[in-house]
Formats: sequence, C-alpha cells, structure tokens
Amino acid sequence: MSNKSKELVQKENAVQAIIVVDTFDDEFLPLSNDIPHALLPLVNKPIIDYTLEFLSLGGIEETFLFCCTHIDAIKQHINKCVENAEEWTQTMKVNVVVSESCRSFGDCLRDLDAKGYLRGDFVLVEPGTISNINLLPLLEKHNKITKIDKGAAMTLIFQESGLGHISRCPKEEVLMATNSSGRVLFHKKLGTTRERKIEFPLEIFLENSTVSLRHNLKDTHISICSPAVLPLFSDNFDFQTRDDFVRGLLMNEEILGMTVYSNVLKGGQFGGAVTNWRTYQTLSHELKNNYVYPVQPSQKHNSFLKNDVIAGQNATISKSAKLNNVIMGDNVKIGENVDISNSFIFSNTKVEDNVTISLSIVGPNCLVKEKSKILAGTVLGKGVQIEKECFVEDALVQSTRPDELDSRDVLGKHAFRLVLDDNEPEDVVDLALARKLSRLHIDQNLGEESEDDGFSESEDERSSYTHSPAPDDTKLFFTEVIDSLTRGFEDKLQCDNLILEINSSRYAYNVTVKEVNFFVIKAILIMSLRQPMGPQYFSQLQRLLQYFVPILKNYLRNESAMLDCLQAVEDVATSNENLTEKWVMFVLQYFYDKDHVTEDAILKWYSTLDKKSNFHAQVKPFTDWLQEAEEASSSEDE
Amino acid sequence: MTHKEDLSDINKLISDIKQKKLITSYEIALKTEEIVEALISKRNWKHADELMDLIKLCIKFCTECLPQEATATNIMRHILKVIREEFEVVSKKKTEIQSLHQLVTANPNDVLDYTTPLKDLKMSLLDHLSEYKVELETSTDNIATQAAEHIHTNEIILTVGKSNLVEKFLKNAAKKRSINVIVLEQAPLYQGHEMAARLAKANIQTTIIPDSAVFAMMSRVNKVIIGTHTVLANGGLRAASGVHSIALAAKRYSVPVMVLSHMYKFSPIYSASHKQEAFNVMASPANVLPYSSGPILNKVQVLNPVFDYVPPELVTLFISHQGGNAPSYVYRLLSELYHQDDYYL
Amino acid sequence: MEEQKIKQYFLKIIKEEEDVSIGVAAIRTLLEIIRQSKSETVQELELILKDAINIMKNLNIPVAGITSGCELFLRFITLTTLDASLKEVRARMLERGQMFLKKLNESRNKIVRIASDFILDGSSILTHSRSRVVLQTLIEASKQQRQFHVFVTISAPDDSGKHMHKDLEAAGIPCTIILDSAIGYIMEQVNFIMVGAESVVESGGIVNKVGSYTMAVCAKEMKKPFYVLTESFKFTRLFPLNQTDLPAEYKYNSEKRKNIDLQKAHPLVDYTPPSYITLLFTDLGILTPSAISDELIKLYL
Repeated sequence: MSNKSKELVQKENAVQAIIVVDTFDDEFLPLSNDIPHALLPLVNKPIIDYTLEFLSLGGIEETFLFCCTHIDAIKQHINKCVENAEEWTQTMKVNVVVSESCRSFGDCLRDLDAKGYLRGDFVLVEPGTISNINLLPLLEKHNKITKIDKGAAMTLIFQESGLGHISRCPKEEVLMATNSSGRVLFHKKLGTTRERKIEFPLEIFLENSTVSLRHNLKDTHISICSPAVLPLFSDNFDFQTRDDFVRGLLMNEEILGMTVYSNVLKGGQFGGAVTNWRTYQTLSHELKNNYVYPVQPSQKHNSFLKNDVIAGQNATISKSAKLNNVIMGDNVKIGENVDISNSFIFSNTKVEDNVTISLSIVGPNCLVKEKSKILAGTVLGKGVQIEKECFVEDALVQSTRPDELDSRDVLGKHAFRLVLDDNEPEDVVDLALARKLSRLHIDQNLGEESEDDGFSESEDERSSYTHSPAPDDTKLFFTEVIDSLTRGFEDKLQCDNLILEINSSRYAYNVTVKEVNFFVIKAILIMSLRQPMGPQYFSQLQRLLQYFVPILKNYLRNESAMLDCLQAVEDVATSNENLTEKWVMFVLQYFYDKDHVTEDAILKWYSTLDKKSNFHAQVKPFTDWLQEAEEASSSEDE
Repeated sequence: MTHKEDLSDINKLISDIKQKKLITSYEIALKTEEIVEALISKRNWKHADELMDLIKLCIKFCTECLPQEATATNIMRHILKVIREEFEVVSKKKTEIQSLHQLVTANPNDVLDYTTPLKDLKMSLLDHLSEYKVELETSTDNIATQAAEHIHTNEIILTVGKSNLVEKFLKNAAKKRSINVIVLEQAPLYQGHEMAARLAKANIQTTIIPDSAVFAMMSRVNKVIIGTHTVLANGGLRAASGVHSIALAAKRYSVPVMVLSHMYKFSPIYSASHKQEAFNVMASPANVLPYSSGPILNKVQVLNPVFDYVPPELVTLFISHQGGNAPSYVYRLLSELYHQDDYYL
Repeated sequence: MEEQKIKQYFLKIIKEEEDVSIGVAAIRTLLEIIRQSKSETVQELELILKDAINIMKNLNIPVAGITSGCELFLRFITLTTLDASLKEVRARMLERGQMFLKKLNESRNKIVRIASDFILDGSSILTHSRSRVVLQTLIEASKQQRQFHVFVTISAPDDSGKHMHKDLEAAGIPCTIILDSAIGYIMEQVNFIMVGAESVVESGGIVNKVGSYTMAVCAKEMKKPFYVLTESFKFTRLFPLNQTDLPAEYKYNSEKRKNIDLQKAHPLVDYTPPSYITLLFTDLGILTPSAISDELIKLYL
C-alpha cells in the first residue's frame, strides 16, 4: 500500500471514484455463493469490466474498488486485466481496498473515511453499475453547486425513463421533489414501502417558488459526492445505504446543514445498475440494443445470431434447437430439439436433447439432462445437474446440500432447492413481494399492464400497484374477468358472449377450470361489494346474480365446481367483515334456493371450515337448518 | 516488458479519441503524426527494422481498440513507407514493390536488410516528417483552393451533415462565385443544422432540407459535394449513414458526386471481410427514440448505424490535395501512400 | 529432349498431379528441358524452348494457361541473360527457374488467405466450373468454422462442375449443383460469385471456362459482386476487343482447329470484360481490374 500511496501523492489532481462491489443482499443466490456479484457475466463480460470501462471513459483517473467478499477472485481478475492491458488500465489506476469486517454499504464508506484516500469531490458508484455518462461535466457542475451552496454533499444522477419501461425496476421506483436549482426536497423509494398515501411536507411548497415532482426517473446508482460525504457516514452509524444517507440528510437538514442535489440525464446518456435478476435482464437487453454505447459487450468474443440470440466462444448449438432471446456463455452445448426462450445460459453448461427452458438462469458448469423442463424464474447455481424428465419451476437450485433440508427440496444428486429463510415474520409479505418484483420480467406486455394499473389505482386511492403482488397470470385473468363482467352488466351484454370472453381469457392466461369457477364467482361478489353496505345491498346482489344466471349455470355444473363456488364465497367473505356478519347466510341461501349449489356440496364444504373462525359461526345456523330440513324430508319419505 | 511504455502515447491518443477530446479527423491526424515524431526522436532505436516493428505494434493496437478509426493507422502506415524510402535513400539501395515485374526480375540477394544501423536515418526521417506535417497542415487549404475549378457560378450544391473540409471548400467557392447550397440535416444528430448556420453566416444562400427530401431536390442540384469518414481500397466510401441514398439519388439524376478527402482517409481496406462488425458501428438508439419514451421501447428494436457503405460506381471524383482522382485510381494512390507489405498488419 | 518426351513429361504432370495448374506444368516442363538440353548457345536454347511451347499448345489441352505461364517464363529467362559461359548461365537459369516456381506455388496460398476473408458467415456463393484456387479458398473458409453454401454449375461440355461438387462435398461444405442454364434463376439467392480464371488479359478482363461471361452479365444486372481468384502468372499480354477477337487457339483445342469448321464448334472459353469484374484476388494483393494493366505495363514496358 505504501507504494500506492506514494503514487497517489504524485497525481495530486486525479479524478477519483469509489466502487463498492458487494451488494450485501441475497438477490443472486445461489449463484452469488460461487461467483462474486462483480464478476457475474453480463452478455459474457463480467459486470465490473463494464463499470471500470465506464469510469475510465467518463474521465476518472483513479478508482478505489472496495470489496469485502470473494476478495481473491476480484483481485485476481483486476490483475489479469492489468496484465492484458485492458483499455481502462491505460488511463485509470485501480486500487483494490479490502475490508472483511464490513457488513453494509455504509460500513465500507466509513472504512474508506478512516483510510483517508480521497481528497476532493469523487464519484460514488454502487455495485453493478453500467453507464456511458461523461462524468467530468457532472463533476464540474457539482463543483459549481458547492460554490453556491456550501452544504451540498451529493448530486444524485438520474435518468429519464418513461412509465412502463421495462428498465424501471418496481423495487426502485423513485418519487422526488426538487426545486429550480435541482436541490432535492423530497426523495422516496416507493418500491418497499407499504404506505398507501405519500405525504409531502408542506414546507417544501411554502419555501420554494417552484417545485417539480418527478416520477419518471430511474436511479443510475451513480452519485457525485463532496468530501463531506464520508465523514457524514462516519458520524451517523445508522446510515447503511445511500438511500439511508439521502433520507437522513433530508430529515435532518437543519441539524446537519447538508443538502442533496439531483441531475437528470438526457439524450444518449445512460446509467443503470444490476441489483437483481430483473435489472440483470433489462440491462442485458439494453446492452444488446446498444443503449450504453460506446460501452458494449465484446464484439469479438460473442457471435450474434438471429432471434436475439448471443453465443460466446465455442458454443455448439444443434440445428434443431429453437432459441429465442437467449444469451449463452462460452462452450455451451445445446442438444437436439431444445427450446429455450428469454433465458440466460452461463458458460460450460450442457443442455441435452428435448429440454425446455424459459425465463430462467442456468448457471455455469450445469448439466440439464434430457426432457427436463425449467420454467418461470428458476435460477440454477453453479454445477447443478438436473436429472432426466425433471420439472423445475420458480425455484432456486444449488448443487450442494444445504444444512437444513426438507426432503421435498431434493431434486437430484447435485440439485437441491434452496429455500430462503425470512427471519422476521411481519416482513414476510414484504420480502416475498420484493422477491417477486426482482425476478425476471415474465411477460413483455406486463410493462403496459402495470402502467395502466398504476394510473387507475392511484385514482381510486386504493393501494399503489407496487404494493399488490406482482401480477401473475391468474391475477391478470381475475382482473380481466371483473372487467368483462362489469362491462357486461353495465352495457347489458348477452351472457353467452361474456362466457366466450371469459373462456378466451382463460386460455390466454392458461388458467385451470377450478380457478375459472372460483374467480368468476369471486368476481361477481367483489362487484357487489362496490355497492354501499346498506340494507339494499342484498337486493343489489340479487340483481347481479339474477342477471348472471346463465353464467352461473354454465360454470356450476358439478359438485367440484360448486365447492369452488363456495370457496369463493368464503374467500370474499373472510376478507370483508360486513359480508360475513350480515349477508353470508343470505348469499348461501340464495345459491341453494336457485339450485346453483346442492345441499351435499354445502355440507361437504362446511366440514372443511375452521371450527373456531368467525365465519364458521356465521354459517353454522344455515347448515344446521339444512341438516334438519334433510332429516325432515327423509323422515317424510319414510 | 517495455511493451506498455511504448504504447503509452498511443494509449493516450486512443482514450482521447474515445473520450471525444479529439473529434475531427484532422485533429487526430496531427496528433498521431506528433506522437510518431516524438517516438522517432526520443525513443532509442537501433535500426529501421526495430522502429518499424514499433510502429507496426502501434498500428495493431490502434486497430484493435478502435476498429473503425482509420485516420490514425493510416498516418502511421504512411510513416512506415516514409521510413522505408528514407532507408533506401540513405543506404543507397533500392527495393521493388511487389508486382509482376518484381516477381520476374527479383534477385533473392537484394532483399533490403532493414536491420543495418544507419547513422543519418534519424535526421533525414525527422526532416521528412516535418515536411509531412506541413503537408497535413496545408491539406485543407490545398483542397479548398481547388473549389473554383469544380464549382461554377450559380450552381446549386447539395451537401450533407457537417464537415469542416466541405465548409471551407464551399466558403472558398463563394468568395468568387455566387452559389446556392442545400444542406441535408442528417438525422438523428442533425449536424446539418450547424453546417447550414455556418454557411449562412458566410453569406452563402443556404437551404436546409430533411433527409427524406433528397430525391425530390436532386433534380435541381448541379453537384453533390460531401466529405467522408474513410475511402476504401476499391474506391468505395465509408461515410455517414444516409450518404448511400444521396449517392443513389444523384446517380438517378446523373448528378456528379464529389468526395473531398484528405490523403490520410484513403485506407487499404475493403468493405466485405469477415471482420464485418468492424465496418459499421451501432450507436445508442437514444437519439432516434429517446429513452424516456416508455413502454414502446420494450417492444421495438431500434438501430442507429453510424456508417453507410457507398460503392465506388456511385462516386464521380475524389478531391484530395493532389487534385481530382477517379475511384478506379484509388488503388494507385494507395500504392503511392503505403508500402504493400504494410497493407495488412 | 525430343517432341515425344516433352509431350509425355507434360501430360504426366497434368495427369498425376491434380493440384497443379496447366501453367505450372508447362513451366516445369520447360525447366526440365533446360536441365536436359545440350544446346551450345543461349539463342539455341531459346529456340528449343519456343518449339517446346508450341508442342504443348498443340496437345488437346486448354492453351490459355500454357501461353501466359510460358511467356512469363521466357521473359524471365531473357531478363537473366548474362555474359558468362553457357554452363553458368544454365545453372543460373535453373536456379532462378526453381525460385520462380517456388514463388508461383506460394501464390495460391496467398490468394487463399486474402480471399477467404471475404466469405462471411451465412453467405451463399456461386461458382463456375472447377477452379483449384476457388476450391482451396472455400475449404480454407470452411476450416475457419464459417457457415456458407456453395452453388456450382455443371459447366458443360466437360461437366467439370460435377468434379468440383464432389470435391466440395468431400470437404464437408454444403453445396448444390445447378444447370448452366439456371444461372439466372439462382442469381437472386447468392451473395456473390467467385470464379477462377485461365488467364487475365491486359484490359483487366479474364478468359475463363465458357459460361463465365454469362454469369458475370447476370451478376452485374442483379448487382452481385463478381470476384475472380487468379495467380499472377496467368496475366497475359492480350487485349481482346470482344469474343470473336479471342485467338482461336484459346477457344478450341488443337484437334478441332485442324479438322472442323470453327463456325460450328463450341468454344471452350469466353472473355469477360473488366467492367463486369468487381475485384481480382491475386498473389499481388486485391486488385481492381484497372490495376491489372498497370502491372502488365510495368513488366513489359
């Protein structure tokens, strides 16, 4: 280090940057066990290479690479780059700073503060950043701001990005208010909050003549920092991430006397970071489409085939393989009749004949044996072997046996399903939701859907769409059914046509018959709930049901369908106190009277109910009556 | 390993080009010449062979890092030829360039040995290079002074985008004659706007039209005068994207297409080779369809090629500081500019 | 060497060594003659060589290759004349003759190297008849793992295309044989044309197996590049103005020339003017047709 610091003194005015390479989260499990985040191949080039290339092109002369895990691998990689005289090594000096004790982004910066390497304004880059921004003008601008506002600590760099763009990771949705000079007055990441309303402090409107509220931004994960940033991290031990820092500064503006500015990129300038699989996917897509020009995947290394397929060196692909939007690493072998779409296959992996892979990530050195199916958001770790005719869906699979293992999670000798333990129970929903949001982007049309949702929901003052679970297929189907029925009822459409409509959506979203029955009934009940809960509620519901009789007749044909119907009633009722207490009896009575459900079905369903629940209590009188009636009738018969 | 140190200047050049500190080919050409001159005068080389190897290394490195950048490598390639010539002069030996004649007459004994150390070589090389530098510096003016020979009074000239050379050429013509210039705006960067503004400032009657109007306007145009990025070995062009369609429209109306080019833009490369990716670059589509356009970007693929290949039959004349040449004569210019052994490195 | 021996030696090379072009075979024969000759003066030697050339030309073999190769060789010989004893001169001639031959043999590899770069992944190529240098270029590109498809004309009257087709298949290159009359049909499917040449004339045009001209005209109409692969020893001092202007010895073999009314005979070769040729790949580099005359002028001026 002494040698290095001597050189530092020589280059007094070098423009400096800090890269923190560890993410401190488990987004990339199980792959992150074997490959550090920085070396994860993105279009067959380690992410860190893009970052370094960007920094060198951006005018940075000295970079501190801060790493806490996989230190050897990263050091080795950097040394290799220097040996190969990669372009960036020519204009930029990279120092690897190591500290194994750091547990968060904030810790890293505190450590750096203690070491005191940085002299002036610097660029702070979060893990996985890829960009083509020219940093020098931004640094200059920041410098100008600090001349006017002595307390300016940080300039956040954002990129304009339209609503519904796939690059907008729902987890990273940002809402920001700035004044005319770009000072950030309000900054909130919407992705992980559960609040339904966002409250702006009144002061920001009172104290500023103009305030712009922006929601069309994408965080580039790049920020320009004043020297004051590191000491601020040291002084405030609760700052774990950059967002904590921004929040803390805004909250304690008066106390700390520090401000944050923002800068929005326009034109060909691009920035983004690989923070989870979804951003991994979108950044691959954008690299492929040259959005990050002149930072590009290696042209020599990759061959670009048709259908958006990219293959590394020595890839063997059979002629009969159907590939669509796939990125493959080096030495990948693809067998006959393989069907791969929207997926990533890492190096040295072999895919045998008749395998289907879609929307998944297959790690390096894997073997997928004949006729297997790997679907929807699966991630295979390094060296996993999937056995013949295996079916894997939406799972994280690793090759080594985890400590605690459920027998269900064994998929093969070298394949174990990884279940992430979520420690804090109250957060379970949040975590599960966050995970869903960070998975691969499933449907190309989804972007639009969620955009529409975003509008309608905010208008209705219901929850923002970022809170609802990621719209999966059944959920989409359900909203479609509600839409069809509502429209049908309002416009007095023929029920036969509505049935056709529902059936076609059913095939579009690949929903089972049972789910169709369930959702149709649920939809009708939900519609009825839109009415005021007064005494006229039931008559309103009756009108609805009356109108939809042909539909009910069509779907409720046998006992299992009736059970589905009753489950729907239960489902809606348990989520709505009013309905449970007042109306559930009447609803059941109605269904029974009109012969939509049989007595047997009701009793069978009733026996499955939780005896202690409020709902059970509400239903009991009705079923009791039914049983009595039956006994009576049977005795009459005798 | 001295390898890295040798290339440090070239590295600086490459990063300057990449960071857009050097933009025009003229700047790059001058800078490259300076670097090689410094290399010759300061570096401790023993004989011509060593020096040539050094420069060849620079060329290779340059083509690897900037496959589309022909100017810097061409300058270096020309200097290689200069070294060979000076060596012959100083050592009073002659070598034949590869030809049928040489094939028949060559004597295996008179292959030049470049490893012979020569005392005067360095001085004469530096002399020659300073001449060459003057040639580079005056190239633009030399080309511009020919304007009056090619442009006549009241002619309508069509040009595209922005080129310093074309601008100077037209301004020079306008000094003596009244001309009318039509500028294509050249989407998506719209550099034509700036060009038109500059011409208008020099009191030239200027009209700006969208790229799509080129065919409609061509019937009234007398001459098309354009710059180019590179002139290929077969007389074709690697020019800004959109030039091919202009050349085709000109062909349709039999309008002569004149290409202004410095000598260092003539390159011994062809358009069709398996290293095809190196021919064109796809720039960021953000200029075509802004990144903020939203969900549409999820569905479309936007291409923004930087270059066009224009076949030689669509070019009427190249104007360099040596005068006008037909495309079929390019091979000859190349053999004058570079030694044949240095064509492919 | 007697006439019979010359014939035998020459025909033996052609028969036994598939890979050797006629021009090279002729030059080798001439070298052998020098080696064996007992002539007393240089002039006599020259006369003997000229006779031998005539003998070879009168065999039933395309004459174009022989003419250009031998002419070049003679030029080469005359340029070496030295005022020394005949023995010395002969030794010098032989030495330089071998060198010349070595260069010629290297030339094909050079062409293969520069031309194979033009074969892109996924392209389809049309070729005519059988040309050794085209064949080797295609094989080289295939060795470099490039995927492409070749269409070969049958090439009547000797059906040499079938031979080419067999060779390509043996090398594992996907190829299709087509009728000579299907050139127009196939042209829209191909990316470019790659043919060899029997000789290259001063205008920059080529003389090649009959049908090449048809192909070139078609290619021009459909704007497909027409590439010619040829060694520089095939450059000939000849300036044909049109097809009939081609010397009869090029177009018909000696037997026909003697016996049949040439009006009724099928020509073996045709002349493709330079305007139809995109580029020529030679051991001197990639040349445009206009560069050919430059090269020839430099030699014979």
